Amino acid sequence: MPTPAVELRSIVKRFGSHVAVDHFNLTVEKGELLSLLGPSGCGKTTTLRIIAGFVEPDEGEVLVMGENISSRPPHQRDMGMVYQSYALFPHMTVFDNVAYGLRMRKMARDKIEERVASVLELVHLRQMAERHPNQLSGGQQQRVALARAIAIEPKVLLLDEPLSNLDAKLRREMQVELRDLQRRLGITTIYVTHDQEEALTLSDRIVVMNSGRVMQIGEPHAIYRHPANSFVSNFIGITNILRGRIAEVSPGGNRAVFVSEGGLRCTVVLDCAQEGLSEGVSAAIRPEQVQFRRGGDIDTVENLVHGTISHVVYLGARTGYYVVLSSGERIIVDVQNVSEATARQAGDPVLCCLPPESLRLVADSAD
Amino acid sequence: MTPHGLREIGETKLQQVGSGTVSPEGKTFLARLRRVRRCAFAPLAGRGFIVLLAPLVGLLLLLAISLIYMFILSLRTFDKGLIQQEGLTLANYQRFMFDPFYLRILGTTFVIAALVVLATIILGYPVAYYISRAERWKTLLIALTMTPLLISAVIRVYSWVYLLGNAGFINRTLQDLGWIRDPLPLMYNRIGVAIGLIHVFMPFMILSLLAALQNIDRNLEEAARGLGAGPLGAFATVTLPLSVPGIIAGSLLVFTLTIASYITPAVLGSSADKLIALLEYEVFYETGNWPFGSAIAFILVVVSLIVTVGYFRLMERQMGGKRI
Repeated sequence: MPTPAVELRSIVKRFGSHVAVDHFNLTVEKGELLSLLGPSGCGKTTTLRIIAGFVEPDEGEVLVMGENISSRPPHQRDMGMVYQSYALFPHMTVFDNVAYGLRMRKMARDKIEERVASVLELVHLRQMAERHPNQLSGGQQQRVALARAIAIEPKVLLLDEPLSNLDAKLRREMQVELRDLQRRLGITTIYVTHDQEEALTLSDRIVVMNSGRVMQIGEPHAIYRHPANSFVSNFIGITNILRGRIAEVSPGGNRAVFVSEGGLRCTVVLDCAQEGLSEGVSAAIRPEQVQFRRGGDIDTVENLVHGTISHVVYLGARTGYYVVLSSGERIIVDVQNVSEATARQAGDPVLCCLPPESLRLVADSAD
Repeated sequence: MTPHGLREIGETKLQQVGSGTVSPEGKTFLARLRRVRRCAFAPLAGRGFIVLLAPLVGLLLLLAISLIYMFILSLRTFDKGLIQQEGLTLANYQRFMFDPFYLRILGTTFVIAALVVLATIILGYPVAYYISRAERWKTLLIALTMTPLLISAVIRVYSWVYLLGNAGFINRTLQDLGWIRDPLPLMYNRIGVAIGLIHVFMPFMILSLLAALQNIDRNLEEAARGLGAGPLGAFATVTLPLSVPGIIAGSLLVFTLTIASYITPAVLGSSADKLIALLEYEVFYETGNWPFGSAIAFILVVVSLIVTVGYFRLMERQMGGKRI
């Protein structure tokens, strides 16, 4: 197996009595874009700064290409960092900003000019070379920050919520540009974000973090479809969670009956990842997987339950219906707005189907 | 509807008027719009300066009128011990500007001022830098730097006498330790004056530097280090250049304060090597020659003005392309 580009071994960092990073282990493959995803205060930024060398871990090691760099100061780690606030040097031109790292490495003048020009070309800012940062828009400043980080051809690119200060449309554009650039250059990239949509869009793999610990590592598709615990399932996308217990398991082990706290009985299809769950579990289902059915389906479809719509949220492409089930539990149902005819209103009675294949049992993870 | 929303509608409508596409109904709408805008901002319209009137008048009375009076005074002659009430002459100014004795005093004042500015920068910068980076004790540290200002000027200056004199604390201790034989001349000379002035004006420099340093994004030095600059390199290429406005502001403050200082040079300095404020005192109170004294005062005002204007020009040039 090839040497991982970055490896974190059992990193621990405490701030007073608060454990920010708790025995964190991670390997990042060369050329991949890995996201650290989690709510505020989960330790993702601290972890990034430990990799960069600005924070010294209390325990554990940081390795780059197999070499232990834990004791190296930041300016010797050969990493490029992009900040949420851009952190461009206001007293220097765009050119000088991008050239800064190269000048620190004592590169020859003509080589610097060449490299800066080509990097600015990559981010489509060639003509802005002589401007100052305060003369650029937010998106342009972010691209300069990116150019500055990649100009030094770092071993690892570190990004700390770089797109958080941009408006939604610009963010989406920059996400695509960033991904393109990263793929083209093949730089190993670690990306910190609290926006799960962003993580799903950009990453080769996502590390979901909470309270300094890893909740799940995996590809975006795997994390969305098969969350390992209720935290991940709650954090990524919206999920309906029904607490309850397993009543029976079929002899073949591939089906179970789940009974919610409200008394709702559902059949659940189990896949191998869900074996070994104890009694106290939750059943999770994504809002877009719940189906509205008609009365005639009562005898032919599994897992049907009556409910009433309490709330309607119109989202343009979709509509979210807040439904109170007959068992007392509340769920959200997402329906694509294909035609006006299917629109429902608050107060309408509905028949919901929770398909057995779409229900996932998750262990109640510690909060 | 917010005024902002109204303005947007108004602008769209104005564009339509410009292209001649507004209907008669539209024109009434515009008229109504204009009336609404005027009503919304009526209380302040054109009358904002009323709020400034009272302090402005007070300021004018105190400053301008007394300055004008002094200026006229400086143009009078002092004849047979009396201030003449008629006749304007530049004799007082000429007397000052063409006499090497007086010019030397002005020169001494500038030299000491420059020295004090330099010393406060060199001594104050590390303190300001440390405070800007301090997390928990910041308020306490700022309060500590202000201590020279908390003591009465006279008490402060005589404390220095106690420390700096030939039989003072410093000399006695060094003699007792055997490090020196004869006492060091730390007082009644430029050294004593400089020490006293540096001490009292240090807070001004430190606070100016602190303000500038705190305005610098914390991430900048870090970004520089991540890009390969060592801690000293990051400071020199990023933090220091960005703190220059603070250095300039502090220098202006300390300079103008120093050239006007009286008590410290009076007590700690020598009467042979005077600063300009002492000269002023003598001229006003001992000789009674108010016209000449006023002329000296005005020369000082002009010098301060030149330095201040120079400062603003410098700041403008700094802000021009490299706004902080």
